Formats: sequence, structure tokens, C-alpha cells
Amino acid sequence: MGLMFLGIAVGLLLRGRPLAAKLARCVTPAIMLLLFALGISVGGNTTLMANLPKLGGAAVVLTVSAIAGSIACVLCIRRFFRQPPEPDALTTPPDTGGQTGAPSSSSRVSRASRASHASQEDSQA
Amino acid sequence: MKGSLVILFFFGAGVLLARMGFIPDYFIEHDMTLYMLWLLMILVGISMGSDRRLGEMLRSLRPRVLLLPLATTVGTFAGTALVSLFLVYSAAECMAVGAGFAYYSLSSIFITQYKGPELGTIALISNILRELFTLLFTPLLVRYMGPIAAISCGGASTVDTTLPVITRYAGNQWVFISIVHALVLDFSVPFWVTFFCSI
Repeated sequence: MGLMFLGIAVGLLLRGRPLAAKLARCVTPAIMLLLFALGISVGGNTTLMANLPKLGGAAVVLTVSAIAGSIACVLCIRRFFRQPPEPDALTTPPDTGGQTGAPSSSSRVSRASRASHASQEDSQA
Repeated sequence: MKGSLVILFFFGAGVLLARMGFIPDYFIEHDMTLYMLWLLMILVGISMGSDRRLGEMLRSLRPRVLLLPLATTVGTFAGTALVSLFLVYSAAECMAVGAGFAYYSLSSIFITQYKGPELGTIALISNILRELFTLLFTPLLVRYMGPIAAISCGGASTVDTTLPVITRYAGNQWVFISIVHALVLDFSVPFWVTFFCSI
């Protein structure tokens, strides 16, 4: 935890220098190394390997319950999010509409009638 | 999608190599994951600190936006605590797994350190599954339950791996809330995981 704040402080100091961008790109290889190391410690543990199907089952159950719980809670607060709560500063630049693909779902169309800036973006796209 | 498959590949390669005895005993006896974790924590911190968007995000934060990560947190903990009744693991252990919020790299290592590789592996699989589920089902979630259900489902991954798919199906106007949602959860992952592991 403390190391992360140390990293944030270093990142703030390095902001704008090419070294920071280089180090930020190292995160993905670091994650891969980390998972490789985790794989080694799991694979080297024989009792764990024997129980892998059981662990996988527990993992699936936990994932499904976590997602179901999140969505149930979100449905309770959904009425606060009829319009996307987005500050104007981030909507006004015209280049924000550039990177998404074509809007496909029908829900987007119905939302455009509710939110004024959504329809603005639709006309740009 | 490709990113998480590559990561799964590295994990699987580590498992297989250790299983077949190609890894020197030194690495198995001296756990490398802790040092890797330290390295990763510093690197994540640097990339957060040097990101110009961070300040912009914090300044433009509205209280209402924070409702969504709060709902994700409460819902995840409620769901995992409920299902712990049917599993051999305690409620705190199940909630520690859920507290990864799809941030599998960090949470699984933390849990491995605190609770051993068994729960750590569950955390890894479970949180990778959460990301995969989000990648696969975001179109359906957006259509039938609304964009915030998809963002909530994605947990802490909605700032990087699942952001493109959310942008694609929910629309650009949800990018901001998706990023704030994930940043708040990102910061809370180490806190919640260590909290539930130390109960």
C-alpha cells in the first residue's frame, strides 16, 4: 500500500518526462511476470493441483454471486442515472466522438431523446 | 479479451512448467510473488501519478458519480457474503475474493500472501472470470439493464480492459463515469482485500 503511494509521488515528479511513459508501459510485462510467478507457486504446490476442479467451481460461484449482487444494487440506484452524469468540460471537445464504433443498440437511440448532449454526439458520429 | 487471454497463458505456463519440474527448486521454495508484487505496486503508482487525467478526474468528481462504485462495492460484498453460506470458506474470505473487483493481478497476490495459494487461486480465477463475463455480456447488460449495470459488472476493469467494449455498446457519454468508477474501485482493492484477510 505504502509502495503505491511512493509510486504515485514518483509519478507526479516524473510527469511529462518520457521516462514516466516508459515505466508506465512496464506495468503489463510486470503483470505477466507476476502471474507467471503465481503460476509457479500454484503449480509447485501438489495438494493445490489435486483440488483445482473444486477451486474452479468455488471461483465460478463467487463470481456469479458478486456480479449478481452488484447488478441488484445498481438497479436500486438506477433512477439517479437517467442521464449520464458527465461534466461539460469533458463533453464539449468535438474529438470525443471519434473513437467509438457505430452506435448499435436501440437503447442508445432512446437515450438520445432524453439527454441533450447525447444527441449532439450522435450527430457527430 | 486478448490481454486477459495472454495473462491466462502466462499463469498456465507457470503452472505447467512448475508441474513438470522445469523450474529450479530455489524459485519454488523462495516465493517470488512478493517481490513481483512490490515491483507492480510501484509501477502502478507511477503510471497513476504521471497520468494527466488523474487530476482532471478528481476535480470534476460529482458526489452522484460516487454512488455507482458504492453500489458495486455493497452489492459485491452482499452477494459474496450470501454465497459463503454454501461454500467451505468463511464470509470474510469470500468477501476478500469479491473485493478484487476483477482486478485479479493485485488481489490474487495479496490473498496468496495473507491466506495461502488456495484462496489466492480462487481469487485469480474468480476475478478473471468477472472480467471475461463483462467482456462477453456487456451488450446484453446494456440492452436489458442499462449501461450502469454493465459498468458495475466490470468492477475495477472498466478503466482499461473492458472500457473499449463499454464505450462501444453504452456510448461515449458513459466513458467518464466508467473511468471514475474503476479508479475508485482500483484504489479500494488493496484496502478491502487486506481488511477482509486480516479479520
